[in-house]
Amino acid sequence: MGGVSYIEVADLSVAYPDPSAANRHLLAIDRLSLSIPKGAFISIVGPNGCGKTTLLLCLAGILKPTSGNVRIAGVAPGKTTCGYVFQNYRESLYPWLTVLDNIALPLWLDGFARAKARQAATELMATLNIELPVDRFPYTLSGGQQQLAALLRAVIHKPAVLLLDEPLGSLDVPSRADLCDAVQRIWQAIGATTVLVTHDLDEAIQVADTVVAFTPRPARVADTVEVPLPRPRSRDILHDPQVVVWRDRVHRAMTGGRDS
Amino acid sequence: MTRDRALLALILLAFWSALAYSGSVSPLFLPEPHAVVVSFWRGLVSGSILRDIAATMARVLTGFLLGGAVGVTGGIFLGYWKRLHNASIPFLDFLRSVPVTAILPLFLLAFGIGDTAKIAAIAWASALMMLINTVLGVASVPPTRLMVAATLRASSYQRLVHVILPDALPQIFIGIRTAISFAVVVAVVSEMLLSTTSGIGASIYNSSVMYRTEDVYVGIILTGAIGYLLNLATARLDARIVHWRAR
Ligand SMILES: Nc1ncnc2c1ncn2[C@@H]1O[C@H](COP(=O)(O)OP(=O)(O)OP(=O)(O)O)[C@@H](O)[C@H]1O
Ligand SMILES: [Mg+2]
Repeated sequence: MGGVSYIEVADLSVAYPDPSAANRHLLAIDRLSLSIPKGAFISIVGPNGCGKTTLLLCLAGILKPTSGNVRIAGVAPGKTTCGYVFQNYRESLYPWLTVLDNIALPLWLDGFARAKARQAATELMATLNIELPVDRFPYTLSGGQQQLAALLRAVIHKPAVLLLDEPLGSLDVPSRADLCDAVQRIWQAIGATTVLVTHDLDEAIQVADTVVAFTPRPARVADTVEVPLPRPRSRDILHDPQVVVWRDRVHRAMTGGRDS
Repeated sequence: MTRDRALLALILLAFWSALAYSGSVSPLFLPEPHAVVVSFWRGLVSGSILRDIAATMARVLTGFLLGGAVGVTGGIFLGYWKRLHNASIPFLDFLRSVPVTAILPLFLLAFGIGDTAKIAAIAWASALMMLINTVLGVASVPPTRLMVAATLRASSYQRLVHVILPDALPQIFIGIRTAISFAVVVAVVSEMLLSTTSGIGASIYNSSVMYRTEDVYVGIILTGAIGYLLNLATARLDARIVHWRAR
């Protein structure tokens, strides 16, 4: 990954208290180092439970590393503006706010008047050509619509860092393709340094400058694959013979060299 | 549904009439239905019923509002201060197990036999209910909801107002509903025990010592009706405000 590093992860380790045995620890991330240039889009893939969400929480400054260091633009994470789509998107939307107010929330917390924030939310949806029943409460929406709302909320304040934890997991195939495009457009429009966690290798390759494959827990970088293709990219690039090779490489790295 | 309810009411009334008019139960224990109706009518006309209702409701609402405010504030405080909360759990459970009637004498000693003692007792009971439920709500905000606020760099005040309080609201409403029903009980009991001239409890007590059983029944029915209506009103309010309960 070329360029000046913006997000710098150095020797990061995170241990959780082991739920099955007191005083024991469970290592989720093991001396992970990663360097992401400003404005880059990287995808992270890895087996279930390897530590991907844990890494994002560290990048957001929500989780303190057990050892090692995370720096964003040279300072501790949590100092820069951040958009985060939580893997658990259902719980992340506030059920006491309408969908529109949920999307507008970041601006609202930034001190914008409520009406102004709402208007910005409406405009964002118009720009991205996204339709949602904005006056309803989030729990009345489908899983996919909720993910969409969570995604919009994560970008409305044009954050410097965008962290996406499986943001498209509940979407059907056509919406997924649409949203994949939307994510790329949003990323290009706001220039956020973006980290996407996904289980979908095609999606990982389609949108990213770099795909990072993690080992099974504890997470370490198993392989890093650059994707130097022009943008915007549609799903058609997935038929590119080069992409097929990259896909295989990522797959092998993830499974630890085993052929599945 | 409504028809079934009316039918059930008729059956109960018929049962009561059969017992009372046949003379198989002494009117001292079970007055004849028409005697209760007459007594109710007299109370309405003389204004004594409305005065009693007003006196009891004034105590219920004052005590509930005072106690509720203290309980919610204390609940937020304890919800934040986990260490104190954990330490206080057995004490709260203990206090909850002490019947308010058992500590009424203390209120009597502290405040005399006037309204203050009764309102203090109601406030005490309400505060305890509201505190316990508010702590529960504040302490059990799902982590992701707090993390959302953290990633948006919300201030502690914003976290409280935009996340913690709304999230605790369903549980706070459970507190309100429990506390207000309980407040009626404490009001009537304290009106009976701390000699009073006004209020439904006083009316029940005074009627009973004069063997005016039909007036006792009027008081009982009024108490039940007030409790029922308050519960209905708070349930409606709850359903309207806390539309996301259990989502
Ligand atoms: N709060 C916690 N306490 C204890 N262990 C935890 C905690 N959170 C995560 N873990 C453990 O740490 C490891 C990494 O978890 P993490 O959520 O980062 O995985 P992930 O890569 O995001 O998985 P998935 O693909 O399923 O989302 C897992 O083995 C998990 O069981
Ligand atoms: Mg995860």
